[in-house]
Amino acid sequence: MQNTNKTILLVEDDMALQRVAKDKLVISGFNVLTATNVPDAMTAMQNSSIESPINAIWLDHYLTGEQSGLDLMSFLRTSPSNQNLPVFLITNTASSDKIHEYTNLGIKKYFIKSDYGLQEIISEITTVISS
Amino acid sequence: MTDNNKNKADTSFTISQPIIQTCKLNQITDVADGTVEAKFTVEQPPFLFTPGQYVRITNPNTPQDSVGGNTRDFSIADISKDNSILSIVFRNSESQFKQDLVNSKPGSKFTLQGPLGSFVLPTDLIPVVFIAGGIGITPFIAMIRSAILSKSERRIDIVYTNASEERAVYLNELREYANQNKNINLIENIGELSIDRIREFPIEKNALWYICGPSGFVLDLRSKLTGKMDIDPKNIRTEEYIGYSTKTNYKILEPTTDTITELSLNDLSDASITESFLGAVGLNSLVSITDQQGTIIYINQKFIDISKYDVSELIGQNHRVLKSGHHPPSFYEKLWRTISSGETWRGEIKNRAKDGSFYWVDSVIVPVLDKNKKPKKYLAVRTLINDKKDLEDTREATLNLLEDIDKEKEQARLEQERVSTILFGIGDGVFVMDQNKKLTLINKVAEDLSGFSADDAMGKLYNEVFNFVIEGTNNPNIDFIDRVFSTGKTYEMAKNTEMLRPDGKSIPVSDSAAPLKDSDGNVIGVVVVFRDVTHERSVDKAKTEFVSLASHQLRTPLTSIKWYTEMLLSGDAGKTTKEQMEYLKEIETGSGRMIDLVGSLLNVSRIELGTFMVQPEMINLSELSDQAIKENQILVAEKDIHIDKKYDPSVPAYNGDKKLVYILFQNLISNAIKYTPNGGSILVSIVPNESFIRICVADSGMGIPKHQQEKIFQKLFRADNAKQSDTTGTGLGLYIVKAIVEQTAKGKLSFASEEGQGTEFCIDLPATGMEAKDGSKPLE
Repeated sequence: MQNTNKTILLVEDDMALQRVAKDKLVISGFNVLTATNVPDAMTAMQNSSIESPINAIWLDHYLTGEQSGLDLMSFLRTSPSNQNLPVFLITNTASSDKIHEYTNLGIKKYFIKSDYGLQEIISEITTVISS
Repeated sequence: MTDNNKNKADTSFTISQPIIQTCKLNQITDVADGTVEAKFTVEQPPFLFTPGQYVRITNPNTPQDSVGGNTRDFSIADISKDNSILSIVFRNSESQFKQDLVNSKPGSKFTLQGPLGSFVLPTDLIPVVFIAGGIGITPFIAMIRSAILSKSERRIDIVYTNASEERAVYLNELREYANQNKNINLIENIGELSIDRIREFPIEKNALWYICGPSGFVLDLRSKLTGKMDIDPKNIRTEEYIGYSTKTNYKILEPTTDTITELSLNDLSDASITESFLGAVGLNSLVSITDQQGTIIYINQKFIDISKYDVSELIGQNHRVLKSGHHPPSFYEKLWRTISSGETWRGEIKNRAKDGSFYWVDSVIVPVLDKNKKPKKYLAVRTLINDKKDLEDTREATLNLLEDIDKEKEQARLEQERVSTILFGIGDGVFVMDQNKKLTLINKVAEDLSGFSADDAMGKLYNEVFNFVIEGTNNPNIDFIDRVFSTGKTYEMAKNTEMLRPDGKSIPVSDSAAPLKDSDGNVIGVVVVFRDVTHERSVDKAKTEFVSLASHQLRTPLTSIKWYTEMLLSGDAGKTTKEQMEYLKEIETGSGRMIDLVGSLLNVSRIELGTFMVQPEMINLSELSDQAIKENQILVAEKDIHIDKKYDPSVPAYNGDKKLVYILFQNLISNAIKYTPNGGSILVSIVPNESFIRICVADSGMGIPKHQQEKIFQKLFRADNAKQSDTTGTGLGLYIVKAIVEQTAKGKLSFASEEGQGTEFCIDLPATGMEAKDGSKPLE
């Protein structure tokens, strides 16, 4: 499968959505790490190594806890090794100036969840990672 | 200067031109009883005159306001051979003028104007009858002397009447002339000169009659000669002046058959008193006499002076030439009625002088009654009351002015009160700065919000008291005030302005600054009005948060349904039966509709809450139209619908929010496609329409039932036929389209529809475009 050896960090706090998204990602050949909040995501980032790197992040905006996806983005941008990590914002909300902020922080693409099917989203991610 | 014909065979009738010069008193001599001769040395000899003319003498040392004034006319009696010393002869009197003259020292200066008058001998040798009453002999003496000198053969009959021989001046001289010249006759008369006596005199009645003497004498005699001796009035000559007073020059042109005997001064016992009286009256008053019809037959000098008309312009005229327009016709009618009924009228009249200026007179008009007590003439005596009127006018004007000033003061006070009330009552903070940006006024709210008291604040630079900064920073946010000073226009604060207090607290503020201008339009200060918008901003924030949250909360479970259904349908969760697939498809459709509905509802709530943003840019409408059409291409192909486009190339780029305009096209085009049966057609047109851009989407679809047409813009409404044919509509599309067109684009939305035929929706967008609007989220 084309996506073997690619790991996606799925940061989504709605468990139903997290499960179905993970299932589809796995079916699509990805290795999937999950987190429901920013601290967990950061831990996963830290634990990733050159041997088993995280190749992309599926990031929602509203997460459990105090911090939002934006905070994770800021963290990512501060650590040099993660500068080039493609981040996909997949959310059902976010005001246009929040999106602006995300864009400034360098997300690759953003999707309004309810407007897209899983397959569509994952195809996009695949395309981007492969290139 | 003068055109003297004295040395010709006979004196001509032409009159020498008068001059004005100074002269000096030479000497005073008594020449007869109560009679004085005064000799004057003229400054610039030769003084030329035609015998019979008179001279006007002014004594600068006599007060002008003495009775009769300081000027008199005198017949010229004689002149020295070198024409440098002039003689006048007059009856002495108690008048100031005569007293001063008689008592003047030789060498005293006088002003001389003359020669005046046309009382001179005719050119041809017509016989003349001189009737001299007392001092009236004076001009005749000059004429006779000149006639003798020129050896004239003219017949001259002299009727010389005096009260007594002692008073008869020049008597001996005249007697001698009569003796020595056969063409000269002298008839002496003492006492009253009756007409019967004159009739008996051996005088040539077919002559030119000259009458000279006191005015009463002259007038009386003249009327008798014409009335009782049938002398043609044209053959009677009298002097232009009668009496002594220059200021009261009488002029009688046409003797009337009706004499003014009734007014005759003979009624008064002494002519000289009468003269004084007339002089006195005439000095201060404007006197005029009119005949029965109101035609002016006499006016005095004062009248001439004040009205500025010439005598000739008034004699023979009616008083109406003087009408000022001030009095209504009823005024004059009443006046006439009063006097024509024989009563005296008194009142104030405003008259107009020849030069257009106005003067007021206090008038008394007395009708002169005939034997039958009917008015035959009217005597008017008027006193100038200009000063009084001026005073009245001034008084009135002053009162008006004082009233106006009072009103203005009251206005200013009320204005000040009003301003105070507003400043005190207004919920906003208000402060005013002068050109130097120093505070001149600050209200209570401003004090409270700023953390300063008015006492501390006044006179300081405004930014020392009111520290406007950009939200969350310390950076001053005061461009808007500077702009007011430089452009003279009103400006709003930037939206993220806060005010930093001395205690460190910061308050979000909003509002504006406006210029204060002087009468020339220069900016002399700025007034700033601001308010604490903490509450407003938090409300706004809450609204946006709500919509965001609602969006998230509604969409998350819907996404769940969507994705899980997707997995099942794709077989990723295992194989499904055909029937299961069908059911799953229904679930997919249903959840899809929900997702659309939520999206639309969120837009509606943003529209209603006013929290969506408008970001105008120059857009190509036809491109957006094409995009919307493309979005529906699958459906179009499926239904085999023909789409026509009519994009007028003259339609300019439109300054609008791309997303919002796209929603318009998206809605109308997808509706048209949805509600048009297979094989139908759609026309999308974009054309100019006066100051608008007109976008129309017409279809050959099912149309909207008439009775439901009024509801189509209501939220969630779907017409029955639409519901039947397509289950997927939300019923919100047209509501959203209407809101965008009307509220954001300030345009018009209209439609026409016929059930079973088709529908056309038209949007008219003002070509000026959309105005930018701050908001938290755009519509989706």
